[in-house]
Amino acid sequence: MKLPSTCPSCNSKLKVKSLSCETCGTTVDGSYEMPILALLNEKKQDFILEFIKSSGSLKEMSKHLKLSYPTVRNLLDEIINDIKEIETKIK
Amino acid sequence: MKKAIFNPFTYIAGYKSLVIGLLIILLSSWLCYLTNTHFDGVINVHYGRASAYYVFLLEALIDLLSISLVLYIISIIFSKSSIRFIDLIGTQAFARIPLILTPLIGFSPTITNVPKYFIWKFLNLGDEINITNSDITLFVIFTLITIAVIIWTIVLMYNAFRVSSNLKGSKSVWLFILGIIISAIISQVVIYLIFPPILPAELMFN
Repeated sequence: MKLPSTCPSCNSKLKVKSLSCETCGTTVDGSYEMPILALLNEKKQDFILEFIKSSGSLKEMSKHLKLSYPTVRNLLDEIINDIKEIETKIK
Repeated sequence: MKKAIFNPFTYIAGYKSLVIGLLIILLSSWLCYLTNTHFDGVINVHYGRASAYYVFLLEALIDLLSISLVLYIISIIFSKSSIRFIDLIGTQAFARIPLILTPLIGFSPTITNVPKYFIWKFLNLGDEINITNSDITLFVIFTLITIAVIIWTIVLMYNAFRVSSNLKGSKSVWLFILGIIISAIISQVVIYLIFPPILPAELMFN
Protein backbone atom coordinates (compact mmCIF):
# COMPACT_ATOMS: atom_id res chain seq x y z
CA MET A 1 0.00 0.00 0.00
CA LYS A 2 1.31 3.46 -0.91
CA LEU A 3 2.18 5.77 2.02
CA PRO A 4 0.25 9.05 1.62
CA SER A 5 2.24 12.23 2.28
CA THR A 6 -0.47 14.86 1.80
CA CYS A 7 -3.98 15.21 3.20
CA PRO A 8 -6.58 14.00 0.67
CA SER A 9 -8.98 16.63 2.01
CA CYS A 10 -6.97 19.88 2.22
CA ASN A 11 -3.65 18.84 0.60
CA SER A 12 -1.60 19.79 3.70
CA LYS A 13 1.49 17.80 4.67
CA LEU A 14 0.66 14.76 6.81
CA LYS A 15 2.47 13.70 10.02
CA VAL A 16 2.93 10.23 11.48
CA LYS A 17 0.60 9.82 14.48
CA SER A 18 0.97 6.19 15.36
CA LEU A 19 3.47 3.34 14.90
CA SER A 20 2.86 -0.22 15.95
CA CYS A 21 4.92 -3.42 16.45
CA GLU A 22 3.40 -6.33 14.52
CA THR A 23 5.16 -8.87 16.84
CA CYS A 24 3.97 -7.77 20.30
CA GLY A 25 1.25 -5.27 19.39
CA THR A 26 2.88 -2.30 21.15
CA THR A 27 1.65 1.03 19.78
CA VAL A 28 3.61 4.30 19.94
CA ASP A 29 1.58 7.48 19.58
CA GLY A 30 2.99 10.93 18.85
CA SER A 31 3.36 13.53 16.13
CA TYR A 32 6.35 12.61 14.00
CA GLU A 33 7.62 14.41 10.89
CA MET A 34 7.65 12.29 7.73
CA PRO A 35 11.15 11.62 6.34
CA ILE A 36 11.97 14.02 3.47
CA LEU A 37 12.29 11.18 0.95
CA ALA A 38 8.79 9.94 1.83
CA LEU A 39 7.44 13.36 0.85
CA LEU A 40 8.62 12.94 -2.74
CA ASN A 41 6.28 11.30 -5.23
CA GLU A 42 6.60 7.57 -5.94
CA LYS A 43 8.36 8.08 -9.29
CA LYS A 44 11.05 10.23 -7.68
CA GLN A 45 11.48 7.78 -4.79
CA ASP A 46 12.02 4.98 -7.33
CA PHE A 47 14.56 7.16 -9.14
CA ILE A 48 16.54 7.68 -5.91
CA LEU A 49 16.54 3.92 -5.21
CA GLU A 50 17.79 3.18 -8.73
CA PHE A 51 20.39 5.93 -8.39
CA ILE A 52 21.77 4.38 -5.21
CA LYS A 53 21.73 0.89 -6.75
CA SER A 54 23.71 2.32 -9.71
CA SER A 55 26.37 3.56 -7.22
CA GLY A 56 25.38 7.14 -8.03
CA SER A 57 26.43 6.78 -11.66
CA LEU A 58 24.27 8.85 -14.04
CA LYS A 59 25.78 6.94 -16.98
CA GLU A 60 24.57 3.65 -15.49
CA MET A 61 21.20 5.20 -14.77
CA SER A 62 20.81 6.42 -18.36
CA LYS A 63 21.61 2.89 -19.63
CA HIS A 64 19.17 1.33 -17.20
CA LEU A 65 16.33 3.81 -17.84
CA LYS A 66 17.09 3.99 -21.59
CA LEU A 67 17.17 7.81 -21.37
CA SER A 68 19.90 10.21 -22.45
CA TYR A 69 22.51 11.36 -19.90
CA PRO A 70 21.28 15.00 -19.73
CA THR A 71 17.66 13.83 -19.30
CA VAL A 72 18.69 11.70 -16.28
CA ARG A 73 20.79 14.57 -14.89
CA ASN A 74 17.81 16.92 -15.31
CA LEU A 75 15.59 14.47 -13.38
CA LEU A 76 18.18 14.40 -10.59
CA ASP A 77 18.35 18.22 -10.57
CA GLU A 78 14.56 18.31 -10.27
CA ILE A 79 14.67 15.98 -7.23
CA ILE A 80 17.45 18.08 -5.64
CA ASN A 81 15.27 21.20 -6.08
CA ASP A 82 12.25 19.40 -4.56
CA ILE A 83 14.32 18.31 -1.54
CA LYS A 84 15.63 21.85 -1.05
CA GLU A 85 12.07 23.23 -1.20
CA ILE A 86 10.84 20.66 1.35
CA GLU A 87 13.78 21.47 3.66
CA THR A 88 12.96 25.18 3.43
CA LYS A 89 9.29 24.51 4.27
CA ILE A 90 10.23 22.32 7.26
CA LYS A 91 12.58 25.02 8.64
CA MET B 1 6.20 9.53 -32.51
CA LYS B 2 5.92 13.33 -32.01
CA LYS B 3 8.71 13.14 -29.43
CA ALA B 4 10.94 11.14 -31.80
CA ILE B 5 10.48 13.78 -34.51
CA PHE B 6 10.80 16.94 -32.42
CA ASN B 7 12.64 15.93 -29.24
CA PRO B 8 14.66 12.71 -29.59
CA PHE B 9 17.15 14.10 -27.05
CA THR B 10 15.23 12.55 -24.16
CA TYR B 11 16.71 9.31 -25.46
CA ILE B 12 19.88 10.29 -27.30
CA ALA B 13 22.71 12.72 -26.49
CA GLY B 14 26.49 12.81 -25.98
CA TYR B 15 28.94 10.82 -28.13
CA LYS B 16 26.25 8.65 -29.73
CA SER B 17 24.35 11.65 -31.13
CA LEU B 18 27.63 13.34 -32.12
CA VAL B 19 28.81 10.34 -34.17
CA ILE B 20 25.42 9.98 -35.92
CA GLY B 21 25.22 13.76 -36.50
CA LEU B 22 28.76 13.92 -37.94
CA LEU B 23 28.12 10.97 -40.28
CA ILE B 24 25.00 12.74 -41.59
CA ILE B 25 27.00 16.00 -41.95
CA LEU B 26 29.64 14.11 -44.02
CA LEU B 27 26.92 12.69 -46.26
CA SER B 28 24.93 15.92 -46.56
CA SER B 29 28.14 17.84 -47.37
CA TRP B 30 28.65 15.40 -50.24
CA LEU B 31 25.09 16.03 -51.47
CA CYS B 32 25.73 19.78 -51.07
CA TYR B 33 28.87 19.39 -53.21
CA LEU B 34 26.87 17.62 -55.94
CA THR B 35 24.07 20.22 -55.90
CA ASN B 36 26.05 23.38 -54.97
CA THR B 37 24.03 23.90 -51.78
CA HIS B 38 25.80 26.11 -49.23
CA PHE B 39 25.06 26.13 -45.49
CA ASP B 40 26.88 29.45 -45.20
CA GLY B 41 25.54 30.30 -41.73
CA VAL B 42 23.97 28.48 -38.79
CA ILE B 43 20.47 28.58 -40.35
CA ASN B 44 21.34 29.72 -43.89
CA VAL B 45 20.80 27.68 -47.05
CA HIS B 46 21.85 29.04 -50.45
CA TYR B 47 21.88 27.28 -53.82
CA GLY B 48 24.29 28.20 -56.56
CA ARG B 49 28.09 28.43 -56.56
CA ALA B 50 30.21 25.35 -57.31
CA SER B 51 33.06 24.71 -54.84
CA ALA B 52 35.36 21.91 -53.66
CA TYR B 53 33.94 19.26 -51.28
CA TYR B 54 35.97 20.53 -48.33
CA VAL B 55 34.27 23.96 -48.61
CA PHE B 56 30.83 22.42 -48.02
CA LEU B 57 32.16 20.23 -45.19
CA LEU B 58 33.93 23.16 -43.50
CA GLU B 59 30.82 25.34 -43.77
CA ALA B 60 28.76 22.67 -41.97
CA LEU B 61 31.44 22.17 -39.29
CA ILE B 62 31.83 25.94 -38.72
CA ASP B 63 28.03 26.18 -38.29
CA LEU B 64 28.03 23.29 -35.80
CA LEU B 65 30.97 24.63 -33.77
CA SER B 66 29.60 28.19 -33.68
CA ILE B 67 26.16 27.22 -32.35
CA SER B 68 27.58 24.64 -29.91
CA LEU B 69 30.20 26.97 -28.41
CA VAL B 70 27.80 29.93 -28.08
CA LEU B 71 25.06 27.80 -26.48
CA TYR B 72 27.65 26.16 -24.18
CA ILE B 73 28.84 29.55 -22.91
CA ILE B 74 25.21 30.70 -22.43
CA SER B 75 24.43 27.46 -20.54
CA ILE B 76 27.44 27.82 -18.24
CA ILE B 77 26.39 31.40 -17.39
CA PHE B 78 22.63 30.87 -16.95
CA SER B 79 22.10 27.22 -15.95
CA LYS B 80 22.46 25.93 -12.40
CA SER B 81 23.00 22.41 -13.71
CA SER B 82 26.37 20.83 -14.54
CA ILE B 83 26.62 21.07 -18.33
CA ARG B 84 28.73 18.81 -20.57
CA PHE B 85 30.01 20.23 -23.88
CA ILE B 86 29.69 16.78 -25.46
CA ASP B 87 25.91 16.88 -24.85
CA LEU B 88 25.58 20.32 -26.45
CA ILE B 89 27.67 19.58 -29.54
CA GLY B 90 26.29 16.02 -29.85
CA THR B 91 22.64 17.07 -29.74
CA GLN B 92 23.26 20.10 -31.99
CA ALA B 93 24.95 17.80 -34.57
CA PHE B 94 21.97 15.44 -34.38
CA ALA B 95 19.53 18.37 -34.68
CA ARG B 96 21.00 19.22 -38.10
CA ILE B 97 19.93 15.88 -39.61
CA PRO B 98 16.79 17.30 -41.38
CA LEU B 99 19.05 19.69 -43.32
CA ILE B 100 20.11 16.70 -45.43
CA LEU B 101 16.78 17.16 -47.27
CA THR B 102 17.71 20.62 -48.60
CA PRO B 103 20.56 19.61 -50.96
CA LEU B 104 18.23 16.99 -52.46
CA ILE B 105 16.07 19.89 -53.70
CA GLY B 106 19.18 21.29 -55.39
CA PHE B 107 19.15 18.32 -57.82
CA SER B 108 16.27 20.09 -59.62
CA PRO B 109 17.53 22.83 -62.00
CA THR B 110 14.35 24.82 -61.17
CA ILE B 111 15.79 25.96 -57.83
CA THR B 112 18.53 27.97 -59.64
CA ASN B 113 16.79 28.65 -62.98
CA VAL B 114 13.91 30.68 -61.49
CA PRO B 115 16.18 33.17 -59.59
CA LYS B 116 18.42 33.34 -62.72
CA TYR B 117 15.34 34.23 -64.79
CA PHE B 118 14.31 37.08 -62.44
CA ILE B 119 17.88 38.42 -62.25
CA TRP B 120 18.07 38.37 -66.08
CA LYS B 121 14.63 39.96 -66.49
CA PHE B 122 14.80 42.70 -63.84
CA LEU B 123 18.55 43.34 -63.44
CA ASN B 124 19.67 42.44 -67.00
CA LEU B 125 22.40 40.19 -65.61
CA GLY B 126 23.43 36.81 -67.04
CA ASP B 127 22.19 34.92 -70.11
CA GLU B 128 18.61 34.97 -71.36
CA ILE B 129 16.59 32.17 -69.81
CA ASN B 130 12.98 31.03 -70.20
CA ILE B 131 10.87 29.39 -67.56
CA THR B 132 7.33 27.96 -67.50
CA ASN B 133 4.48 28.33 -65.00
CA SER B 134 5.19 24.83 -63.72
CA ASP B 135 8.77 25.97 -62.95
CA ILE B 136 7.36 28.78 -60.78
CA THR B 137 4.96 26.36 -59.02
CA LEU B 138 7.77 23.88 -58.40
CA PHE B 139 10.03 26.69 -57.14
CA VAL B 140 7.35 27.80 -54.64
CA ILE B 141 6.87 24.19 -53.45
CA PHE B 142 10.64 23.71 -53.05
CA THR B 143 10.92 27.01 -51.16
CA LEU B 144 8.11 25.97 -48.79
CA ILE B 145 9.77 22.58 -48.22
CA THR B 146 13.11 24.32 -47.47
CA ILE B 147 11.40 26.67 -44.98
CA ALA B 148 9.64 23.70 -43.31
CA VAL B 149 12.94 21.83 -43.02
CA ILE B 150 14.65 24.89 -41.48
CA ILE B 151 11.78 25.33 -38.97
CA TRP B 152 11.99 21.62 -38.06
CA THR B 153 15.76 21.98 -37.59
CA ILE B 154 15.32 25.06 -35.37
CA VAL B 155 12.76 23.21 -33.19
CA LEU B 156 15.24 20.33 -32.84
CA MET B 157 18.08 22.76 -32.05
CA TYR B 158 15.95 24.42 -29.37
CA ASN B 159 15.00 21.09 -27.76
CA ALA B 160 18.64 19.97 -27.92
CA PHE B 161 19.64 23.16 -26.07
CA ARG B 162 16.80 22.82 -23.53
CA VAL B 163 17.67 19.21 -22.64
CA SER B 164 21.45 19.75 -22.60
CA SER B 165 21.36 22.94 -20.53
CA ASN B 166 18.38 22.13 -18.27
CA LEU B 167 16.98 25.63 -18.89
CA LYS B 168 13.21 25.91 -18.90
CA GLY B 169 10.33 28.22 -19.84
CA SER B 170 10.62 31.62 -21.48
CA LYS B 171 14.21 31.98 -20.21
CA SER B 172 15.28 29.05 -22.41
CA VAL B 173 13.46 30.53 -25.44
CA TRP B 174 15.07 33.99 -25.15
CA LEU B 175 18.53 32.57 -24.47
CA PHE B 176 18.19 30.24 -27.47
CA ILE B 177 17.17 33.15 -29.74
CA LEU B 178 20.16 35.13 -28.43
CA GLY B 179 22.41 32.12 -29.08
CA ILE B 180 21.10 31.70 -32.63
CA ILE B 181 21.67 35.40 -33.44
CA ILE B 182 25.23 35.45 -32.01
CA SER B 183 26.23 32.15 -33.62
CA ALA B 184 24.69 33.17 -36.97
CA ILE B 185 26.86 36.31 -36.97
CA ILE B 186 29.99 34.38 -35.88
CA SER B 187 29.52 31.58 -38.45
CA GLN B 188 28.88 34.00 -41.33
CA VAL B 189 31.88 36.15 -40.42
CA VAL B 190 34.16 33.08 -40.10
CA ILE B 191 32.93 31.61 -43.41
CA TYR B 192 33.33 35.06 -45.03
CA LEU B 193 36.91 35.29 -43.74
CA ILE B 194 37.92 31.74 -44.75
CA PHE B 195 36.28 31.71 -48.18
CA PRO B 196 35.87 34.56 -50.67
CA PRO B 197 32.67 36.64 -50.23
CA ILE B 198 29.61 34.94 -51.69
CA LEU B 199 27.58 37.73 -53.29
CA PRO B 200 24.18 36.89 -54.80
CA ALA B 201 25.37 37.52 -58.36
CA GLU B 202 28.41 35.29 -57.80
CA LEU B 203 26.14 32.59 -56.38
CA MET B 204 24.19 32.55 -59.60
CA PHE B 205 26.82 32.83 -62.29
CA ASN B 206 30.09 31.30 -61.01
